[in-house]
Amino acid sequence: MSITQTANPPLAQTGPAIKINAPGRKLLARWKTFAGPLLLLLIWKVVGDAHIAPDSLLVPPGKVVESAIDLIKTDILVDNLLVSLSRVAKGFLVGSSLGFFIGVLTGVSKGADEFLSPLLRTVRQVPLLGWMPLIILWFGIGELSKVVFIAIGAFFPTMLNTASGIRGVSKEYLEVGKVYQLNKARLLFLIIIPSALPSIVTGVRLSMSLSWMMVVGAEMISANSGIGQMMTATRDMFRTDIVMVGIIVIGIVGFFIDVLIKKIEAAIIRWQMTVK
Amino acid sequence: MLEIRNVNKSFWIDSKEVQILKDISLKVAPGEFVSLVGMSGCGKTTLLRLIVGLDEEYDGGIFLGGEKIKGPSRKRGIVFQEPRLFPWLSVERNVSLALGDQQRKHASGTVQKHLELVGLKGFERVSPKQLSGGMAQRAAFARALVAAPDVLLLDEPLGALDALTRIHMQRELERIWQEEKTTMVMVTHDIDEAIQLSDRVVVMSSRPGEIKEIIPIALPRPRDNKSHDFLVIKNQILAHFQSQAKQYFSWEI
Ligand SMILES: Nc1ncnc2c1ncn2[C@@H]1O[C@H](COP(=O)(O)OP(=O)(O)OP(=O)(O)O)[C@@H](O)[C@H]1O
Ligand SMILES: [Mg+2]
Repeated sequence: MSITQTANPPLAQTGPAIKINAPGRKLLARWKTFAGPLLLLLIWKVVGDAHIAPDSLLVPPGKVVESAIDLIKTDILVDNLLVSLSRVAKGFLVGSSLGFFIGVLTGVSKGADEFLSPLLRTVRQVPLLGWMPLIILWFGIGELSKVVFIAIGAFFPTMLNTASGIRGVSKEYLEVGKVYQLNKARLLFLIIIPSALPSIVTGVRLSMSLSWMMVVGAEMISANSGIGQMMTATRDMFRTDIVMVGIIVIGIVGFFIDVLIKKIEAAIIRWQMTVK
Repeated sequence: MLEIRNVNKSFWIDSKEVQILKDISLKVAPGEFVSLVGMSGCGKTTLLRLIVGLDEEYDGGIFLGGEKIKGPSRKRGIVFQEPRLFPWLSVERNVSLALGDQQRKHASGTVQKHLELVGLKGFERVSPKQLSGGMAQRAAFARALVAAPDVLLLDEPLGALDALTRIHMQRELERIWQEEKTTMVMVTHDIDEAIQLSDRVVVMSSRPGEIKEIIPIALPRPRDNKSHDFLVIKNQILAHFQSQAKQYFSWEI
């Protein structure tokens, strides 16, 4: 009894002390995270302001900020961003759902695996950009072709990770399903898919980041709106500042998409580990 | 009645056929508790896997109630050495998993009843990750019993537990067996445990696994592992393994 009594007060004191310091300490601990971009910005500023190269090649950061503000004020940036994001959403949803479905199929059924996997492995050898001519031929240069292009990219990571996750479900777990005679559907939803979930989620995350890269590529090839198109159109007018805005926005949005997906991933894993 | 008739089983190991089980014949009466003891690798798990229906490639026959066993059935439950609970399902769902579609519709209280039986009342919504080793194995018992099997197979069910928990769980297992009146066939490495719980102890030899002796335990329950009769039986069982160890020894020289 006496041990717990003497041990308790100091513990209670350190509790709140940690809480107060936490945000500040966290930021401080993260200084390296911000140091990289800031250093890059500094170099850019110095070199840009020195006017070594013409502005059309190496635009100073001040000018980029100006055009960024301009692009935001005129809604051009946000509109184009929204167009791109909606394409990503559509292509990603179609591609990764299909990937999930085919992944489950080839993971569960040996027949389907033998039938589909060699074919899909071959198809996957085609570089994603190599699809573009065919897609344009088949689907034109409208919205559909972009969504298809993204969907192809989003398909493979989800499909492959789903299939490998399902093939990796432990024999011990499957035996439990067998012993208790679970029917196919219960086996799939109670044992196989939850067990493969971490791998599936990884695949979905890869699909998502790839989708975002694909949309920019697709829009650079053919589009009349979207963030990629905004960059291509202005590049032809030597508006390097806008191109730079585009690059930075693409990077930042990509970064936040990844953060978001990681958050969702963590939430799913947590949900998987807790109780329904 | 569970009847094992002339069962022979071999595995292909390095493209050689190795006989694992040889001429196993055993009758287990309804409600009886039988333990299998034998050296590691003698084929105890293999035999349980044949009875539960996870492996159907063997010679001979295994019958339950006169019917030849083909594949798994809810009439035969099993507790593996590890609990094998699914961490993404609650304890309750892990248990109800073992119920068939009809059973799930009609008997809503059975899961609850079996969790109470194994002493896990109040842990229905808990994740298996939050259970201790002993509690997890209790949940596995509940899962194996919930569909009211005629026979429960236990593969070293308490093997992974610490000594104190193990002794406690042995008493619990005895109580569960007495309450449920299920036929039980248990594999164990612990001879005290076998004598403590069983109506009969089956001693197996290894390579190939054969039944060497079947020892009836006629001691009154609860049993005292320090009593004279208990120790006599214990020595009788141990004698088999000592002679076997000697044989191996002389072979190697
Ligand atoms: N699937 C398999 N393929 C090939 N050999 C196997 C297979 N399963 C078991 N064996 C072999 O059969 C023998 C018996 O194995 P089994 O698991 O039944 O032993 P056991 O008596 O349960 O041993 P332990 O007490 O260590 O659990 C072992 O030598 C093992 O190598
Ligand atoms: Mg074994």
